[in-house]
Amino acid sequence: MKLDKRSIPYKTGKGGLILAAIFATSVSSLNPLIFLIGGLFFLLVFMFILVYQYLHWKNFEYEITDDSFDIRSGIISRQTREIPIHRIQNIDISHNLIERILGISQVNIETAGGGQTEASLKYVSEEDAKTIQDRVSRRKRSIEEEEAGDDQPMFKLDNRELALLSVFSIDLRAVAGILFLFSLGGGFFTAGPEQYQTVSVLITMILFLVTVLAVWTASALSTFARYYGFKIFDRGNELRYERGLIQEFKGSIPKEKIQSLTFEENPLMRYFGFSSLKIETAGYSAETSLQKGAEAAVPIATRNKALKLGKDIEKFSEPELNPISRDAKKRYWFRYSMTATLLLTGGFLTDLHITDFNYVLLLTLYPLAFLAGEIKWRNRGYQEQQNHFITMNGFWNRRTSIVPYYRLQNLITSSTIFQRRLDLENLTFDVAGTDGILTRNPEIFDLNRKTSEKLRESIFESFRNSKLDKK
Amino acid sequence: MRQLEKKILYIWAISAVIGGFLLSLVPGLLALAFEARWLLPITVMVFPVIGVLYTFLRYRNWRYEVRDDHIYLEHGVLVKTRTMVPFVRIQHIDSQRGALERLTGLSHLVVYTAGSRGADVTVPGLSREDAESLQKKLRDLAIESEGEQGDAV
Repeated sequence: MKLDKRSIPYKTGKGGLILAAIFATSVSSLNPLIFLIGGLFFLLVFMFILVYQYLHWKNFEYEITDDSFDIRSGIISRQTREIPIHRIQNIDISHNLIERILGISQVNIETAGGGQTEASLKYVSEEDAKTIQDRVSRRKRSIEEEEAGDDQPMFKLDNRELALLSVFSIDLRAVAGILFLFSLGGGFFTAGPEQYQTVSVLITMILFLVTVLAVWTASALSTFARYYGFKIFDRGNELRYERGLIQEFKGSIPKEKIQSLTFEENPLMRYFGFSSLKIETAGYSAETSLQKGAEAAVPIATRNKALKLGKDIEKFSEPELNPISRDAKKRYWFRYSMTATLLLTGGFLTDLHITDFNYVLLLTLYPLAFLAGEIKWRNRGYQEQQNHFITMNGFWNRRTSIVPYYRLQNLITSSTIFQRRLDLENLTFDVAGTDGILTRNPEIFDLNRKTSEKLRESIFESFRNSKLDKK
Repeated sequence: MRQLEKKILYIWAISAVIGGFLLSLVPGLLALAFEARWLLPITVMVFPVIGVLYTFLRYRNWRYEVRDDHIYLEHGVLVKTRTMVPFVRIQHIDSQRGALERLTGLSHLVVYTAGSRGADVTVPGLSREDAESLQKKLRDLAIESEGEQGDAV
């Protein structure tokens, strides 16, 4: 099979655009002769790129055999790449606005080892892209479990959820940060000269509102475009998803590559009974890490809907979590009080040396620190289920992870010097496909050391037993 | 449980002392800035000495053991970490030798899994023979345990 012919002008255009920009900015101000020569030179280079892209297209061939995906390419030095079908984790199809108008798509083939997109087809026609996806998934299974004609989605994002998603998409921490900055400013104004007080307070309030509104609108619009028409289909041994208004995203996830499920909510979502679900797999590259694991993520759904979808994918039971050690509260109270003290000292010094500052207001931070510690503790927990291990962490962004025991890669416990004083320990259930930044391992913090040791043994035991069951 | 070869102390101590000297540039410069030349010998010695003490503790806390279905590792001074790596999760094992290690006849093993935090588990301070035999042993155990599984992900 060949790449689509339209990729030739498209790729030439992409390369030429950059050249044109350079040409336009560097030559535009010079005299006509130089302009002409520069123009001819640009045309020559453009022609060269066009010819190159044509030759590349002519020498590019791909084929899906019974057990491998073969790609033959190269103009001067020929390159043959054979990817064993069973190593392919995901086939991702994407196209931006221009590609969509031209009717072409980019197909990315991901495998587990390497952490990079194994192969990329730029660009194939939309029908070919779908054919590739179909053929590869069919080859991967001996039994064809595709439900032809059954287009009932496993999950569909309804309009209300999409609207709510766009509204809820503001990063609460950004708002909190802005609030905090402005409240510090408040300390300045209550101590300043009388005549400027009302005006400066008014300006501050307006600035604050405008900032928040701008951030909010931008993220709402971008989110709406990204999640328009989001659906997940159950295709036997894999999940298929699609979404997007301007740039369309389509892909498939073999169920056997699913490492874990993560439910995430911010406080606002929790209050109104909503949640989000991320399906973590091994095999996404750093390139697509901006939406890593979130390609097939359900950004928002009612809690019941999300839980039901999760249970359909991984057969776990209703979570009933155990709390972490009570001694952990001492750590959190101490940490937050320290921050309060730091801020108080800062305020005091500011008042002393820089300007009048009502630092006494900052004393309110202490009871807040106590409350914050309490909240942090309450939002941490874990549970050992029959086949799954569950962890929960966080208040502003609460993450509940459901992971089957057989997905364990490494089991790690660690404790800092401060934790050892309180006899506390962290436990990490290391799985494949996490990078510690955008996706995190299921983890429990600040467990009592004896509990942690028992937990470690029983998790590993569950892992042993699960390995025996699997296959 | 097994400890590391004592020779690793030399390698660790050297880098700790060098690091210590580099760190002591800061307080040293500060001492000069505040016209406190008498402080200089102290600032120069403090960090390297701490570094050497840290090295001893580091050695003392490093332990490993090959158990029936996993490798168990313990290490750390400020942050104590204990890791369990199931054989069935081992992708491959590298043995590596840095310049200093070659001078002292040491190696270290890197055990690769698909996990992130434990993705490359390193066992330093092994004698060449120990490293080779441990590498072979783990490889055999990994292959043997994989007999029941397809891919280790």
